[in-house]
Amino acid sequence: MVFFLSLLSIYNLYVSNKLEEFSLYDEYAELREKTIRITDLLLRTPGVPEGWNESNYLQLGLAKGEYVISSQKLEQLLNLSEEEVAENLGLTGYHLFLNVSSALNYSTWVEYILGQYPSSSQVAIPVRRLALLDVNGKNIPVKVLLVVWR
Amino acid sequence: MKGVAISFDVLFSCVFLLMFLSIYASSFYVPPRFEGEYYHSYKVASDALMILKKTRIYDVQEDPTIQFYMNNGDITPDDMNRTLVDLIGTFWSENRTEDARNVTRSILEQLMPNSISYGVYMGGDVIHERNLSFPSRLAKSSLMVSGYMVGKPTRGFMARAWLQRVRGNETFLLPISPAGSGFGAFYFQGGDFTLEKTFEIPSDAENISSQLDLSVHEERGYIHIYMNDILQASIYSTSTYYGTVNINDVRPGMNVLKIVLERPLFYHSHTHPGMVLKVTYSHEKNLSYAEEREVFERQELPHVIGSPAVWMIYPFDIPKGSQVNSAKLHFEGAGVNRWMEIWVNDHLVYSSSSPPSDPVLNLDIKDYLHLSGNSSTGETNILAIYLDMESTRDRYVTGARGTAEILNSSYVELNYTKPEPVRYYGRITATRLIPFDQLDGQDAALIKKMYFDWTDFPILSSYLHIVQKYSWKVAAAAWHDPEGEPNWNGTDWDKYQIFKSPTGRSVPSSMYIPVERFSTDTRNYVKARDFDGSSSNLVLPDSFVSVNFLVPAQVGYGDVFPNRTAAEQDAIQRLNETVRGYVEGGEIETQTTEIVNVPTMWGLTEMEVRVW
Repeated sequence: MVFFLSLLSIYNLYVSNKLEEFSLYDEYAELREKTIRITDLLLRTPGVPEGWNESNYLQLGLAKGEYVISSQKLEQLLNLSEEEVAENLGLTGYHLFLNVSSALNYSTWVEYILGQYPSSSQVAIPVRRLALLDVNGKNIPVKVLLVVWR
Repeated sequence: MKGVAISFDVLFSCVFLLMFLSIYASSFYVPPRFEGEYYHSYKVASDALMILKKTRIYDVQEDPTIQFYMNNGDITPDDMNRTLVDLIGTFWSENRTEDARNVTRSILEQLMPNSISYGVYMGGDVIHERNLSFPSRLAKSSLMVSGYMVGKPTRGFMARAWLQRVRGNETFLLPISPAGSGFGAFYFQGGDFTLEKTFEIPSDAENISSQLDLSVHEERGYIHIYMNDILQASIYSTSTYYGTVNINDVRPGMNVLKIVLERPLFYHSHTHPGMVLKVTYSHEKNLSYAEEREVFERQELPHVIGSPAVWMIYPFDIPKGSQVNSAKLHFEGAGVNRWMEIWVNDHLVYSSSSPPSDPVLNLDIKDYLHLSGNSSTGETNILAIYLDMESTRDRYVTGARGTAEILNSSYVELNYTKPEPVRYYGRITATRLIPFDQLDGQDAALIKKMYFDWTDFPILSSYLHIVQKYSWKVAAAAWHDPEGEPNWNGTDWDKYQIFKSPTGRSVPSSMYIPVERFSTDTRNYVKARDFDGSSSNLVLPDSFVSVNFLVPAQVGYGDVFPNRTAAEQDAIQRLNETVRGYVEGGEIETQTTEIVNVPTMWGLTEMEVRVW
């Protein structure tokens, strides 16, 4: 009987661990898809209103044209707090890390950063995208990294 | 007590079983990571494609590879606003795949994450691949692209040209198939043999020249050739005769060719395979044509007079695949005494040992044609008519006297529906005669083979014209590379056979070759042999294939020129080069358009980025 009860409690522990793992998987999957969609939103739409600024934005978007990031909009975004950006993008409760940096080693070096890169976290979703950044009429290929974490 | 102990065992066993099953089942759970990773890979692929599409040369002009192409002149200052897709596509379209790879690699190797494998493809060709691993999951993004030729002006004038009215050369062929007096018609039993055939030349025809390839058997007697009742030549023949006769009096409109074989001293008189009147002339050509799908066709038979008997064969064809609605023979004869037979292919469709003297018949001959179901096989049909002689006996029947005639009020009437009616616009028709002596040299032979290469224009129709001095039955095959050469199995060519004589002496002067037997890409062959007869039944090297085809009478937009005049001159020159040899003269019209940044110089093709 003692052996049976011990086995039952080990089984209980195993099951609860598994359930937690499954739940994390689900969250991870859902968040990954959401993060990809958010990068689409940022890189391919201009936001609402189209000429938004830090005081009147309804929906954030960075595109000057599809896949071409406006430097001005990117700077406006960096003026917002991480929480404000997360809330507007539907990521309340999560931290954000956004990094936009030159992709080609010979082009003008630019780097824009919002938020903190997660040092250790339970859930961290990194999504890497490519786009062009408009810098004084020149479209510089840039890498875009968005990490959503908690 | 014993029963309770067993119940606990069962209970424990059941719980253990359930625990085991639930652990086992959980091992099958696959976290939804894979789908998300595929979605991410797809996004990387589409990002790379968009970067190539949106990045201008100006944006990456510091790139060492781009600078290399700027320094060597492949990229000019005018190209700065063109995109990387334009540059890569230009190199690809010029077969400079290595240059396309250099540009693609130089840009994407820095952009793409280090851990992934990827490839860029254009029109199915590999432009560049980074192959780190075997693709366990593959994400693809593609785009239809076109662009300018880098290094060429994007502003300027392009012109196209077409013939508005055109006078061109035409070749008209009038094949005369074998016909004659009854065999065995010696001097004391026979008379002259006469064949008359009416044909039409367009009323605006000019520069008419013509030649008759004369192929007859006249054993000791004269052959007289008339065109429109004007004597063209009188030739004394001792046996078979094959030669050419210049014909001078063909005129625009209706014409009558008459051949008279004088009463022979020995044997009999008849024509042989290979008699063809060839008329060339220039006239105003149609630049467009739309054939009806349903064809009604009435083919008038030649007027043939024999003494004491008469016979003739008449070939007619229906394009392969046509649905045959009806086929009728209207026959009118005169001077018949004792015997009459009419055959269609190897079917005896009418015979009488006491026919009327001037018979008039209307026969439904559809069931006797070369058909597969209701559809034409494309093989030439043979109508054979014998008056006062038996088809199976080599002489006239007893009691035959005077002359017997097949009147030219006789006709074959066909009604069929074509699978693909001929329709063209901005083209003219032309005919080429291709001689037979290419493979076997100049020697006549029982089996002759020829070839020709056809690399230019679409074929409308083609015919085989066999020339023989003596003949019995002929079988012919046509094929093209890489189809294999057919073999003779004793009765037929084992494949690609286009004609086989149904009876003795049924060798027409033209045999239809279905269009699909010839290729415009590879070498074409024709092979013909006489069979079941004497070894002296040779096919002459004068045999030929006639091909009717379409020549474009227009050229499309060409290069970009700095001014309108230069563009027009280029278009006219290209048009002249295309129609040279087929056109005597005509009115050329041109249309010039100014182009400003319309990307149409290469493409449309698919560009694809794969990530795995």
